[in-house]
Amino acid sequence: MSAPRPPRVWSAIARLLVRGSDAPFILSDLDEAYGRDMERDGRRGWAGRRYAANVVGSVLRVGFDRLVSVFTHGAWLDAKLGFRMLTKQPLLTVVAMLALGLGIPATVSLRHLLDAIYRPLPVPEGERVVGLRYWDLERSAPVMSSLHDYETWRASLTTVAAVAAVRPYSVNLRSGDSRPAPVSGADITASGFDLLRVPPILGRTLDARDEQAGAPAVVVIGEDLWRGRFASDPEILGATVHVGREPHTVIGVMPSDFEFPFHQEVWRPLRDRAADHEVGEGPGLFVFARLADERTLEEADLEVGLVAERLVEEYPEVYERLSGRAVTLARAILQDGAEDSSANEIRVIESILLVLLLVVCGNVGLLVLARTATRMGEISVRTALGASRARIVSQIFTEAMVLALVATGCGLVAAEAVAVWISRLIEPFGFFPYWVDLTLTWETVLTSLGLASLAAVVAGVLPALRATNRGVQANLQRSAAGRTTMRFGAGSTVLIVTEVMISVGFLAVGGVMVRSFFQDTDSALGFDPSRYVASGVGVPWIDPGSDSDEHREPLAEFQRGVLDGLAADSEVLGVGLASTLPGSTGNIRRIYIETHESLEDPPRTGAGSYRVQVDFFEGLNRPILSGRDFAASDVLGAPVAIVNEAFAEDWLGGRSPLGLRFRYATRDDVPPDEYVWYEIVGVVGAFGVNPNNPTRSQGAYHPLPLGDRALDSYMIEVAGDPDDFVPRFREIVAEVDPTATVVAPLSLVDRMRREARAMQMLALGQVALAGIAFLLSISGLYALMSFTVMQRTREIGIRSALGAQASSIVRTIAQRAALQLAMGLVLGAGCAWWMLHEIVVGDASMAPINVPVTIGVTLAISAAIGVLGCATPTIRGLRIQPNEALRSD
Amino acid sequence: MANLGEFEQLILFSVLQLEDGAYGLAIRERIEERTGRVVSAGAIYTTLGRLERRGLVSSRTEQRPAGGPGRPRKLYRLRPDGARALRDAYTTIQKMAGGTLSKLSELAEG
Repeated sequence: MSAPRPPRVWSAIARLLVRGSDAPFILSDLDEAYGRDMERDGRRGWAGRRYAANVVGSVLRVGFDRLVSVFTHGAWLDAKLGFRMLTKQPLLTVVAMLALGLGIPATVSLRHLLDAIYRPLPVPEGERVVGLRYWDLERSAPVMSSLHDYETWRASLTTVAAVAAVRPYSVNLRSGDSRPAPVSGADITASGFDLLRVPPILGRTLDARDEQAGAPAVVVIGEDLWRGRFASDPEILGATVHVGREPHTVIGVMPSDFEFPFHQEVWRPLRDRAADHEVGEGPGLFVFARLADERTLEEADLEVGLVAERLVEEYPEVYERLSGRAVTLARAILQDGAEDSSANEIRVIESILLVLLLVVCGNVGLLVLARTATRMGEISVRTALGASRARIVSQIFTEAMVLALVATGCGLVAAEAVAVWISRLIEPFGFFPYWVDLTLTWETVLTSLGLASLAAVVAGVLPALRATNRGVQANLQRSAAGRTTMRFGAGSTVLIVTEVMISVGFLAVGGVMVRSFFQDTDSALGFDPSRYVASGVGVPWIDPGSDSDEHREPLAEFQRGVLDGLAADSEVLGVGLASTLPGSTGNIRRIYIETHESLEDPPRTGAGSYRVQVDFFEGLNRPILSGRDFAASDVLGAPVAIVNEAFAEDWLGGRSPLGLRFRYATRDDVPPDEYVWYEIVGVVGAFGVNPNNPTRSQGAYHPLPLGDRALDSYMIEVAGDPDDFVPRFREIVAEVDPTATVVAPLSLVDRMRREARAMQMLALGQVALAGIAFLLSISGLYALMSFTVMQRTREIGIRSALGAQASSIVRTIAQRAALQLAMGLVLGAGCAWWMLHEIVVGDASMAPINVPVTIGVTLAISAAIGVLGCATPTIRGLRIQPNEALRSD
Repeated sequence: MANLGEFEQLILFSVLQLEDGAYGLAIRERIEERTGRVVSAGAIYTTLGRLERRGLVSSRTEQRPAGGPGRPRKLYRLRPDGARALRDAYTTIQKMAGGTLSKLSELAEG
């Protein structure tokens, strides 16, 4: 009796897919097993199913095994070759690593940042905690919510389970006899803690009783504060600390990973009631909520919108321009823009970054192509010995992959270090919410690896396909003739010319920025900054989101108290209060001067505009050179200004400016009868207006009364070391109001240096961009020329033997590269002219420049760099010995 | 000491027990019979291939008389290294399990 035949389809599948040296034995076993199953049971169906399962299992197992084997053998060998290539051609490695190591992390950085910000809140079911807010339809901007908004939402929304509100601020904290020190705090509704569901590590959180008027003042503190300031005091619960002026009892300690919403360390109950304020008035709040079970953000958004429509009918004057929205919490906390437009902008930026990365990859591809050209002989021989085209392409791809992976790894490690450094730098400013963690995530690493693979395809597979597109015979013949089968196409020319052009533009701007922000500005200040302390002062009882004037009187009293306290100190030689301090780049505005000859001269660009207290110049002992100082009545009457000497001399030709009027440029739709004209009543000497650019140091000062919240920066002239005076300044402020916080008190020199540092970084960034673009373009030129030398080695050798001039050989090697460099420089001159006018010429904070000279110098530097980059392959070409060239290949 | 996975141990025990008749299907059936585990022919051969590359088993193709019944089989034998590895793996488990079986049964039966 013949053996039973297994099901045909499965048998065919097995014969088709089970491969490898053991395949005959496996197939034989499959059939034999089927026969035995039939013998044992006799049912075809049962035996057939077992046979099918056996086939599927075998196919999968054998396939997987083969895959692993191919990868671990073929790919490992290629990877080893790839690593060897990294060390064999270090120049290519360095250039490609820099390009990809910067390009890939730069491409993923935006997504990484957004993911870090918009990830769900790190609390139980954090993705269901959302923000509620109003959106100003006219200004296209979010507005802070009011107590009325909070109470309306709490009473009417059904799509959310709970609503809470929080108001962050900075406040002084004092315990026992210690000095008051500023901490980040927040007033929060008790519902906030319930909603966030994070238990305290000690004591309790706030509850509804704490919110009642007249309830004992209580505070919850953060673990870091408890462990640091209170040295993990086991008796902390029940202890009394002063938060601002008031003593508070500590009732709980929150874990260190809870700092809601920014980097708060202290939480007090929010006791303000909507009933105490008009609708739309009162402190600005962030309102947040937890979605009810089975409700979505979209449903909540719809309901908040409907509530807003109802309010428009009740209070049209407050809600007419507003639209109610439920948004992701991060968006509400960061007062971020509308979802749809942001998403579009992000997509556009990401697309641009991806295109830039592809350009970078194209460049690395040029280098790989040039390197591959030098290996055409080897590739041809391998092909002749039986290596398939896929095998050769896979090898070159693996080499590019090794390069891309190493570059990505290094780039990511560096990017993480920079991100962590920046996070630490900005953390004290409460810029990001507490949950933002910029350390690397798996998502970012995987995206980067994906981009590295894409880079390897562009920089490896494309050149490899180009290199292997001819037959074995043709390749061998051409290799034997000392020639390559490849060409650099028009794409490479476009790439190189564009890069040279861009690098010239960035170099021109970067150079001017470096000159502007690294110069010594002290001599242009008109005073000695080393004798001054500069500091901001904040008071928590002023709500930054409110336009109300109700704090004007208490603020004036506070400012007067601080000024008097300073004036009474023997160390203090002078003091002034302003919106922007001398030495900083002020608010630079375009102005029109009303002269005797005509109503309006052509506009003057770049007058520094400063708002100062009435006694500013007297308080700082700055003499009025002509005219008069501000008087108290100036803040009430017609608008006046005191201008500096540069204003009078540069713009009025030395004529007396007294009595003349000027105005600031306004929007085009403002009618002339609404222009605000300022009468010049006095002239002062140079006092730190725009020290970066002496030709743009014209300035105008306007008086503000005490109590104006714009007056938040103190400038104090001291007899001794400014740094030594800082603690005394803190004491003086605390004596006037213990809740006030001293913000960034520094010597004026340090403050200027710190402000300059950001601009210096920007300038260096520009130069770095120019450097990278240069590096890429030079690498392209280098690849092109090396390729030319390699391709024409035999020809150059013969011409040398026949006595050709060196200049003629140089022409052969460098002609095309020189043409590309020249084209790039010509276009670069245009690019630099445009960028200088767009970025530098209109910016008064930049050093004065002569545009043609700047462009000329930039071109000269660029040309020199280009020629230097081309030097190595040219020298290599000139050193070709005829006998060696004829022997090669 | 060569590390052996659980499935590798099962295969080596089968090879040991089947002596001269250790080929793919026989091993597969032995495992199914003793453990109730259904495995594919492919899994048996890829594992045997790996054990052979590690020097733990050796193989030879069974020569059948020309025109005789059946197809050629690949027969496996345990090599000394394989025997040592299997002995060590088994001893380790025995040492670890020593005296715990009754307790395990008690726990398992609740």
